[in-house]
Amino acid sequence: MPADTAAVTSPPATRAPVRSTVQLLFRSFPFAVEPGLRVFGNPNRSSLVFVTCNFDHTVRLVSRVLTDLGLDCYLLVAPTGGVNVWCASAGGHFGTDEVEAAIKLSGIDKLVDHHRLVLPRLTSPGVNTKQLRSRTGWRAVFGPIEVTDLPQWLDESFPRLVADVVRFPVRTRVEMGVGAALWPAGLVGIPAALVGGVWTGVAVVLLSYLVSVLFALVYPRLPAKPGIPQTVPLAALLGLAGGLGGAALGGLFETVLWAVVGVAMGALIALDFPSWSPTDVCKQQLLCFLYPATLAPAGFLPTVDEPACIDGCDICVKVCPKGALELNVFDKATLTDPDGCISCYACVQQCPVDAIS
Amino acid sequence: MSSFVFMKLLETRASRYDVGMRMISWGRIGSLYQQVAEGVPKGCEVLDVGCGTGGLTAALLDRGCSVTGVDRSESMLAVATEKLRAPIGEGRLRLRHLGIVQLSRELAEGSFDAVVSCLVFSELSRTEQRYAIEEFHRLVRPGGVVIVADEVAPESKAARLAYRAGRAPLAALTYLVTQTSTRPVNGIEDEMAGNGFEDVAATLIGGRAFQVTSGRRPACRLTPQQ
Repeated sequence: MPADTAAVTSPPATRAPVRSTVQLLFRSFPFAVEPGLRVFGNPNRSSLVFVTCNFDHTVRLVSRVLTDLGLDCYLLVAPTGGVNVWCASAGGHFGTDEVEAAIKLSGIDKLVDHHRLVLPRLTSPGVNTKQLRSRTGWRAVFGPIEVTDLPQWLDESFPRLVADVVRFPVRTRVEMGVGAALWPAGLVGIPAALVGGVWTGVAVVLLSYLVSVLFALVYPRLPAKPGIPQTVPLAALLGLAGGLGGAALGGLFETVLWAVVGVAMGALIALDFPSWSPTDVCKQQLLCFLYPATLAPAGFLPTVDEPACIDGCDICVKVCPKGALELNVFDKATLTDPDGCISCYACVQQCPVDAIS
Repeated sequence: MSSFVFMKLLETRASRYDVGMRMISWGRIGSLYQQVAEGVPKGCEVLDVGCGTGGLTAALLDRGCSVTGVDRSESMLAVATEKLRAPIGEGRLRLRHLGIVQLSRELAEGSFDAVVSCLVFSELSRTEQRYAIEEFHRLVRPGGVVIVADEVAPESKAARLAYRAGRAPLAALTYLVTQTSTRPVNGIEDEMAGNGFEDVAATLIGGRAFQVTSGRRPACRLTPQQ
């Protein structure tokens, strides 16, 4: 496809407070932008080519980093259905097909002479780089996990694959806490409003946001493991608090209503929040029923076929977003932290000899 | 026929797609496929892009065509395979799991007399639509016909606004359940004309909510010597 007819969309406005707020409140939902080519600066035939998903929030974030960096480069936006990089890639919607589509829809092969793409690190569960090479001729290298680390990675490591693990800093936790609160606010708030009146509903919605954000803040320090071990205590605690609060407000009706609200809110938040956490996502999928959380079967742990595994090759070790694999004394890859593994499939997908299954 | 929004919802349930399509089009979906198929010459070699559960594919087979059906959804193809067992056995139909960008890798230039695509473009982004039209131009033989049929919104501003308002609740529901939406596609005829097709024609059918756009790849003609 000739480059001049390829769709070139100018990079998006990076500051859009209203759009950002709406997308924060409805973070569970995809926001798709037009896939295709974005051009930064005045790229030439050897300029870098980056790839990302077509989730609006991500495209704006990546555009801001590339603009601030002042780099002359191309960005290919892959058609991932408006879903973010990791969910799309682990869920089977940002794989080899979508990268191939990004290459063809953008007409990038007419614009540069090299054949090297920089993929987001978290596409590693979905994109089979060997297959991509044989289908399209393009070689893929993985950048850092956080696009904000891109400048440093370009300076120090490009195009090498370096180990990088997912983090869950306070800022992201608050963001995810707000996004996740939509479910308890809606699923508990609306029935509560129907039963107890509008103001009860409003109070439940506000409380949902408060509890969700507080839960997100303390999440990494919780003594119990994600899932049921966190859910039971939180539901019990909120149920008790609700019951006591309701009793203080009035009669039996209020007591029961607020106790039920407390239990439901606690259960929803604690069960669902792990799916918002990059350190536990893929393993938890309460509200992921609309979307598969991972390509791997539930409870999958990678096993390494040692005779097939290449001595000293540490691609899986570096690509694991949790750092759960290491090389053993025989220079073979081993899963050393099974509890840390989140079954994302990246090691299986990226093994050059398919020795992990 | 604004209820084509439901398509997306129905598509996640491939086995019930046909029943649903019949219901939401008030039983007109069959005649719609028929009218689209009538644009294809009898007995020729056709590529059905986005064949889905094989609704249009069956209409094409009835016209004596041999068909290659491609779709990006495996579950939809499974339904089509089940439904169209006989023509597959006779070798008149081949079904393949391919998306639009994979066509260029798998199918040779000019290998079809006709390329048809029904209710597909409304699910594609503008960039993908543009790519698809160029790809169809490549796949059809010189002189062959390309037909794109899809939902359209009314031309005039007021009518379009009313149409959008009427469609909004349905679109919202579909979005909530399947997290996707379809949209009417206008301007396919301009896109085709701009891509070297000749005899581009657009016909409105099905209560003016549906447009069949056809165009022809210019034939190789001998030019008289001066």
